[in-house]
Amino acid sequence: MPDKPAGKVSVRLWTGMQTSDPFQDVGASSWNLLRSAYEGLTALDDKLVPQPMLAKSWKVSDDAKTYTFALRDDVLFHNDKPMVAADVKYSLDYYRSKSLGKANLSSVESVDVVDDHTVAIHLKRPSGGLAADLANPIVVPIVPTGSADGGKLATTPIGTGPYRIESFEPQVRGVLKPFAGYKPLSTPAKGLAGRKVALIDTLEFLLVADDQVAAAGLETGEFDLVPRVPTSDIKRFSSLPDAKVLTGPGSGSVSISMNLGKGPLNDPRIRQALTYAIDKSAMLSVTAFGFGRVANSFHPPEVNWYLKDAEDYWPYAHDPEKAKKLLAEAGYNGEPIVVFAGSPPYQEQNAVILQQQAAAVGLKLTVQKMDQTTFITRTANSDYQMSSTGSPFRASPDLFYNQYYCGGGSAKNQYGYCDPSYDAGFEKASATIDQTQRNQLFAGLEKKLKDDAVILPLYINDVAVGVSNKISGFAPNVYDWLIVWNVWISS
Amino acid sequence: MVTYIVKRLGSTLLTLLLLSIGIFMLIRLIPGDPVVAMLGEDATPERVADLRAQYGLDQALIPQFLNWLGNVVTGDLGQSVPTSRPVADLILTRFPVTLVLALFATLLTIVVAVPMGVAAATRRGKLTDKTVLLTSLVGISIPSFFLGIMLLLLFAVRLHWFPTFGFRSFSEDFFGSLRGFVLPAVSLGALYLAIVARMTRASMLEVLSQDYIVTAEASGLSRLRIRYRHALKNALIPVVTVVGLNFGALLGGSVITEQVFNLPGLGTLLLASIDRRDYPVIQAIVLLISVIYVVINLLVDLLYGFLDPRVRYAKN
Repeated sequence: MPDKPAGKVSVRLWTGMQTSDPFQDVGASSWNLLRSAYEGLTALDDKLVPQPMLAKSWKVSDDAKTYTFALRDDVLFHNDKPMVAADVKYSLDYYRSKSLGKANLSSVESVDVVDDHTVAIHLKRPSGGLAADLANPIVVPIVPTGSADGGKLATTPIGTGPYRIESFEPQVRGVLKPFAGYKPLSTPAKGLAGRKVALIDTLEFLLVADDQVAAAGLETGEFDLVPRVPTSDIKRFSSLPDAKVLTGPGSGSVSISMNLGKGPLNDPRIRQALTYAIDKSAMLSVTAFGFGRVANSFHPPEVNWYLKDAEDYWPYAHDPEKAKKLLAEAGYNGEPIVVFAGSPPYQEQNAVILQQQAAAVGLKLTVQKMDQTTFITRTANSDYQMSSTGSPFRASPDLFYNQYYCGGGSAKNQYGYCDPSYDAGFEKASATIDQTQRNQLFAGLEKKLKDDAVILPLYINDVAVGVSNKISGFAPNVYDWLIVWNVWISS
Repeated sequence: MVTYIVKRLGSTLLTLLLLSIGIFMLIRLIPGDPVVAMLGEDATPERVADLRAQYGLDQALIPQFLNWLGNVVTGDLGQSVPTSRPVADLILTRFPVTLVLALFATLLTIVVAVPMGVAAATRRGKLTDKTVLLTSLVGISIPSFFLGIMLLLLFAVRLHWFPTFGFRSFSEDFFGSLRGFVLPAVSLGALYLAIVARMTRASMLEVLSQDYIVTAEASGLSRLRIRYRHALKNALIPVVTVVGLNFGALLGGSVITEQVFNLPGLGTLLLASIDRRDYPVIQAIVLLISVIYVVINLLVDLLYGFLDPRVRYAKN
């Protein structure tokens, strides 16, 4: 490792980069830039366990409704002013009222300054997940008091991270430079937590929407880091002279969503028939060229709440005969079910494969492709029967299982699933503090969702990052977070 | 002449108004809105309703339109919804790129296609003519994105003569950034080059067969003089019209080329804005392109009248 920052690295982002205001952009692509400049009270490590970052420790009250955070006293903002508790209160309050991601802190009742380096957060209901929610992995950013008002962070970004944003042209280019006042932690770097050192003098992020163009940029040396190399290009790039593609297990899950509120999928026998008809490995090898792992869960084994007997539990081995029997039992009348696919090509590809596998057992599917925003609008409003989709990885079990919760029948979720025993189980798990107990309770919910044939995970994508040979210290991680601290140029 | 201009202006304004109403309605007919696009996967109905209110998108349509129209007339194009940046700023940063691209492509067309057309017309039936016709056929037939990708692959990736994606900002390195416009200009201009070449050829052939050319030849004027002083000038009249109108098309139609070469112009902005349902930006860009089209149309009409004495005298 060099002892001073040096050199220039060009990174490709595929979308986003709307703004340098971390409260107004929650996209995974944008945060590949923003995470080097902004930090939160906590940060997720490689197992998604929240670790201290701007807070040095925290205590939870017995009723799990109050968290008291002790703040570090050596943190400087990019404007060289020290961070104090008032800044934390400001940031959290601003986040809860104005941020795009504010629903993540919907359980927070109020934030109080106890003293200059202590903050207390009061919750509306008991929760064991607050420390993780603050880290997200898209953190609740801590910024100086008043700096976010009027959207000023879009023109004057001020964070606490090892890099600061020097210039930002929305949807085109962002340049980061090391922040001299950053004090790295002494704990080893793991995931997004621990010691972070800025070793590159100029970090340039460029927005290139087209995957093929970006991959070409890697070939010509115009890009040094290209996350999300298309699976169709990975083999081709193994023979590049100046760059290589690093692959590894990932966490982006690809699945089929079903709307139980729209017939005929409200009949569990039909859902089960569909599930018995599926051959997941076919989809993995055709759509993803085999770069991934067949999955019986949305969660990769790397996460801390992965309990094998629940996550790997899958009562539906590929069995076309059983599927046909169930369809007959349910009195399926040949009514075609529509499967939506959004703009990413893999969604349509999987839908078509699914259509063929379903046809083999007599189940008729029609595939309808649409642009991404239409796709999201219609699925969010439960205006769909089935969809071939990919889920963003949700970094805490609460955020994932919450999707199937219907709040005692008052709030409907987009899957049309409303089960009182599921809801009761979710409320209990969410309120439990002890991590081992929580994980056990969530495992129970996982099994129930599968027994009820509500979820249909297919496979989990591998990560593939194109890296120039001049870069050292970089490694892809399971969650596809692009980490550019502790990375340097070796000539 | 004055009444003519006034009438034209009147119908222009009406056209622009109808276009604005049209685009305003059309984009709101597509499912989704800027808020859903911003929230992405987290777009639950509650969060959407909440944010919509925050951005004032929950008002009724007619007041929203009149509001927008009133602002436009006073020069305020509104703000982009996800970034809150003034739309005018966004357009001002992006427009030069599209303009340079269109100018470059037009220049290429004029410098290459016109001589091609003239050469083909004056050597009709010979190899030159056949080559030009074949090249034009290819130029008209190849889809511009395919041509763009092929050019990229050959000249940028294999030969390294040009950068893979076209744009480093003008202020940093003007001539360097122009290098990044060569391939996109060729890819975008290929179609128009073909059209103009054929047009020039056809027009030239027509003029060359006219009586006054035969007379000029008979009276002993040199071939060259006839061609380039008399024939070409007249042959160029329809060509000027086509090039002028094409310029408007180039400005509005560079979307695909900009996308392939990753140029941050109006085209990529429009595409991204439609994806994000960023209504103010979409409306502003469509309005801008319409204005340009309409103005160019008017100018070409006036220029045509100026160039062709027959039209000029007929009008008076």
